[in-house]
Amino acid sequence: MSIIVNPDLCTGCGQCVQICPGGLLSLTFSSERSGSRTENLSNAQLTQTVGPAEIKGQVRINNPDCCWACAACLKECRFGALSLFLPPALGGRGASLTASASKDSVVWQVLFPDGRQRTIAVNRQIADRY
Amino acid sequence: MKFEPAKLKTPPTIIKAEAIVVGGGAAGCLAAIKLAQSGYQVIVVEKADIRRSGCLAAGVNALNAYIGRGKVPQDYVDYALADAHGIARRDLLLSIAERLNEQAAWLESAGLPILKDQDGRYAERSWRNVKINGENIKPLMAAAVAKTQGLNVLNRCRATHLLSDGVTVYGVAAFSPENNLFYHLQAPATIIATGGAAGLYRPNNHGSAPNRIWYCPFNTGAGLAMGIRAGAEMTTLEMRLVALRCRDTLAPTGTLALGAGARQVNALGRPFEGDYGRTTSQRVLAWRRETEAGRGPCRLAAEISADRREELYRAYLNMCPSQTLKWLEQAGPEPRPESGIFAEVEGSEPYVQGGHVGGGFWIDTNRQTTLTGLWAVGDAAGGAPQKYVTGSMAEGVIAAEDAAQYLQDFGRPAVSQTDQGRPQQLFQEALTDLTAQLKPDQALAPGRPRLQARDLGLALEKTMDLYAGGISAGYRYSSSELVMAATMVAELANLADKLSASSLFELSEIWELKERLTVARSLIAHLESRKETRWPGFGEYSDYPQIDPEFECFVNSRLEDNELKVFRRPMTRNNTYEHHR
Repeated sequence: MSIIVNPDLCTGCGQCVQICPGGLLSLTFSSERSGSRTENLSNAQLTQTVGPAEIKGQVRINNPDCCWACAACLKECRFGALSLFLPPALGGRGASLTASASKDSVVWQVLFPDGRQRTIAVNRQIADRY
Repeated sequence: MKFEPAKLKTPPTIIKAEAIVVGGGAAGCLAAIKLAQSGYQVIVVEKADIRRSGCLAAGVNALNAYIGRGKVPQDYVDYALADAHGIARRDLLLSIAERLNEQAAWLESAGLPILKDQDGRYAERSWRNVKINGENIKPLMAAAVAKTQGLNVLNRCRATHLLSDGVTVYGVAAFSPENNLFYHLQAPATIIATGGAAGLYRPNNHGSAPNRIWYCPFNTGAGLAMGIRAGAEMTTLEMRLVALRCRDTLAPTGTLALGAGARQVNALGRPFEGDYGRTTSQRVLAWRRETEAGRGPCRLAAEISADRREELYRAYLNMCPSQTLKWLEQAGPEPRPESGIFAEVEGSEPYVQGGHVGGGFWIDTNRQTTLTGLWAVGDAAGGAPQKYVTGSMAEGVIAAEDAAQYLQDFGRPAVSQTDQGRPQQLFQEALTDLTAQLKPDQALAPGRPRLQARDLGLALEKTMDLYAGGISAGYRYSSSELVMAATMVAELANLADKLSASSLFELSEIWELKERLTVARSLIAHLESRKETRWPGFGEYSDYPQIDPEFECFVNSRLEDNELKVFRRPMTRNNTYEHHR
């Protein structure tokens, strides 16, 4: 388990589903008409199956154990709904990492368990000195 | 979503092109672009999305194959050959080395930031590599692909079979779970540019994070397995890569060591680099020996200022964000004024691949495999260790040039000189092979266990770990253990053939398991056949613990009538190598 979805922020746009190199994500949607019905669909299936107006989706991590932690989905999400974390066996102590990517920068934010934050902005146009 | 036969779109989609590139990584993107620029219709089959697929999904820390100032391509050849303890192809290394710097320039023109010195030249990290911001390298390559005319990408589509009569390759069978479709891709030229194979051995992290490994876990050896099954010759699979990486995150260490000048020290604080030699394999051995002697944990430690440490955090965010997160979890939210940084190191589980080590397809100097109409490049191609990103790109270009020549000689349109019925028949055989496992759940007696691809995969990893030199075996294996491994892998392969899938997603999981089993079978045979210990950091053959000059040769294999033939080939001394068909 390496990433987690914040359901309050996920809009179900499906961008992360497209980008995940492991194909580990899908959208869970409940049709507004049928309300309770929930299915797991990949993004491609979703666009074929229902019209956009009906979509009220949320991303779902199908195989959380299979995540490589590449953070492609974090950078793809425009809503900051996905975070990366380390399980305790890998040194995780409850902090999480989100990313806000634009053409020129990626702004990474570490949220610590006590609520404090640390922001690190990386300019995409500047090479690393290492 | 459960599979219902009625929902499967039939008939399969047929796509005709002049060239197929399997895998849209560094090698595949360059091969596809060069072929399309030569005027050929190219289709890239990619099992993820080329914007973030494979090894480079998270980014990369440097261009690690480059000819620095005052050096010449031959220096690279000599270095890589010595690092591989003599088992590498001079012709392949030289042709890569001659084109490394043009790949770096291509990447810069595609938008990759490369650090420059005051004279405007690339700032070198060592004579073999340059500093970059590699976070966005894959999207940049994908953008270059997108604006190339005559090039189409099939994302979320996995190639499964080479359509080959054992002599010539006529195309590829593939399927897409997302689109619920099978594909028959037809072209006279096919370039295998897939990754190598992870998922053969039990990894460092278990429980909820088994895929927190160094190599891309989604590289399941697809290209290698397709080639093996089609009867293509493979080489040097036994030179497994055990990567020395940061503990827990398996993050790269080069940025710390080369970039920040970190030194490896044991628990006594004593540096031990060089005590066991300086080749890649010997560096891994150094960590193992120090740990075995009770002087672990070993760590990479650098005395850098707090400011430079912040830069290091950014550098790791650009390729392995977990490592920065780990450091910050240790340090807390407030920047610390004191200097220094460290990371404990550990060895990864072994991988089969051709980008760092020498395992993969046996190819000629132009990257053509032993099958006509089939080329292999990058991590799928053997014989040229230390090619990394730029070397893989160089191989893509070399293969594209040769394939273009082949297509020109061959004449257009596609599949002109072949019997039209033959590829169709080969595709039907592939489709039968795939759909044989696509059936609703077998009726199970209540209380009976159901075999699943994932569980068989765990059995494979355990088998290889214990009996074929995995982490818990201390990377050691013996003849009798390899016999055990071979028996169990054969048994697992039989079980895998009997699994049933109720959707193309499930079929995908089964297929990846079968790819890993196919590569594992060949790997075991290679390990058994090289009766010596040449790269002790990567693995030790307990029955043959020394280097044997007899094995200054390549160990190659080929599947014939489902029997794996393993044989030796002499070292190549020339700057070109041709297959004798």
